[in-house]
Amino acid sequence: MKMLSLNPARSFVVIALACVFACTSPSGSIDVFIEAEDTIVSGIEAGAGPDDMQDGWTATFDRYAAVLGDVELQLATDDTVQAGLPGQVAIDLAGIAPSGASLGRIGDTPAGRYEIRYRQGSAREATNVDLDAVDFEEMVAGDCTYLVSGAITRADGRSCPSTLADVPAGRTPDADGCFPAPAVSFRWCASAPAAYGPCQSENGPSGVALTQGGALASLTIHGDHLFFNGFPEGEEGGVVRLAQWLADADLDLNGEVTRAELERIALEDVVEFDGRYELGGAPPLPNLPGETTPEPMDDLWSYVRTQLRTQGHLNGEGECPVDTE
Amino acid sequence: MLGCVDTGAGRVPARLVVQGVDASESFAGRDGWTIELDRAELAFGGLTLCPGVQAGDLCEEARAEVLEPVRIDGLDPAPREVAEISALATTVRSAMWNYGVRWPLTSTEPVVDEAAADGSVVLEGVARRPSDAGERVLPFRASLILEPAGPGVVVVRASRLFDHDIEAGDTLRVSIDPRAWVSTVQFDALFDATTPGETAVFAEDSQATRAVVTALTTRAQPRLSWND
Repeated sequence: MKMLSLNPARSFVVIALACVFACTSPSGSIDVFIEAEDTIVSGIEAGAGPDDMQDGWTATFDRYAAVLGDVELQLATDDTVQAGLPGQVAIDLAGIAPSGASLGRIGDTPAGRYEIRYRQGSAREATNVDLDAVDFEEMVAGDCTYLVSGAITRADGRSCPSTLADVPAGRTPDADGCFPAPAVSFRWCASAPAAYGPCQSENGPSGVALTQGGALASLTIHGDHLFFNGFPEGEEGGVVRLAQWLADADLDLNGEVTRAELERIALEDVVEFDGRYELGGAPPLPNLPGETTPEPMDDLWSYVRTQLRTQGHLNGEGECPVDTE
Repeated sequence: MLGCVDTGAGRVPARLVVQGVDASESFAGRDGWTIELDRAELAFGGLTLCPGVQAGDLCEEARAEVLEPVRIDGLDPAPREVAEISALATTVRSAMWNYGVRWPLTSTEPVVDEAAADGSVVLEGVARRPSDAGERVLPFRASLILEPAGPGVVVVRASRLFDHDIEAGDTLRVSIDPRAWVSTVQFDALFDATTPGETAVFAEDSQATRAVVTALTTRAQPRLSWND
């Protein structure tokens, strides 16, 4: 288990009815962890299983840096009883231990069921836990929430770019207008701020139940939403994982998909976004500076950033609605 | 027509009003094309209003529902009352809706309601573009079905729409602008694929169809507002 160098004094507990709780109610501690979904650490295999990539591609991540923190808890039966762990950290989820990394402990908290919320912000407001200095500086400079790099591979993979493609001289497409592409890499520094919660548990009531024996809460970041068929309903029941859209976004056929390429591709021009995809459930992006309406999700870059804003979960698969405040 | 979960809040009458736009003037499309719309209709509903900021699975209790879809003339800018709705006197923040086609959990296939008998979306118009060989003129037509992806799925789940306390006499306005549905269609490709003199039809897997569907599910969804 990775332990973060977090000052215990940063945690806080606010108890309005202090004497009532201190004198008559049991209390305990909540240990908060950061956890990576297995897809981030182990990748997504091609296959026909429900968790596999369905279109023959395999995805792996060599870096999955994320900014998260600012945990807030609120007693479900009394909103004056609050506790939390302020502050955000930047951590590479691709290298995290299976048991997760400890974010900190919220001690001496009255027992009960707590609603839990947390945030993903910018690296500019985060403490660097384990990122290379160069990567962290890139995230700070780009006001990024995520720095994600990896690749999709498929022995007989093809890239079928749109009419926007900058096909290099000497490259001839096949009869379908496609080019061989056994591997396509990506490296994206993306702003995707989000406020999650109140989070549900995977099965049962929402939040975290604290007893005298203590409680655990894991902020779980999923890694496969980039490959979802749009924004299917919660609990991932209608999810299909697909990656061909990413291969097709390599407009210059150099084996890497960049932010600039994603920004050039309008959603309606993505051939792969057919009836398999559900685009109608996308949470709105934040408003652009000075604007009163959300930034539109109208190209593949805004699509990727919107997907990243859906990845916050609790204790594995517990759903966390985004931007409910 | 209406069905709400009774949470104890009182029922109040409200009105559902729909509205299109004045698109009598041609407007700019993509790649130098200009577009005229002669017909633009949308089947809208069923509609569910939710108390939470996020709809979908997280919409645990409907606060108002319009179960029967209505047909909206997208080229009629006059507000038109289409239903007297009865809602609960409580707060709504998000909504989810279909386009005249629903997929009940107990059904093996989608159900097309009467409002969508001609299609969830019906478009007719003409696109024009100057070229070296003279003006390109392309009459076009689309009749598209937008169906849920599976049983129990709703096509659009719109979050953070408003924070409104429903009161008796309130008006929920649904406004649509069909110009945004066709403004990103690649008419060059459609022109090349159409026999000269014939009307282009938006094919199921075409960019033109994706443009309309993407608009209606993302950037150009119907706009819902209260009392404006």
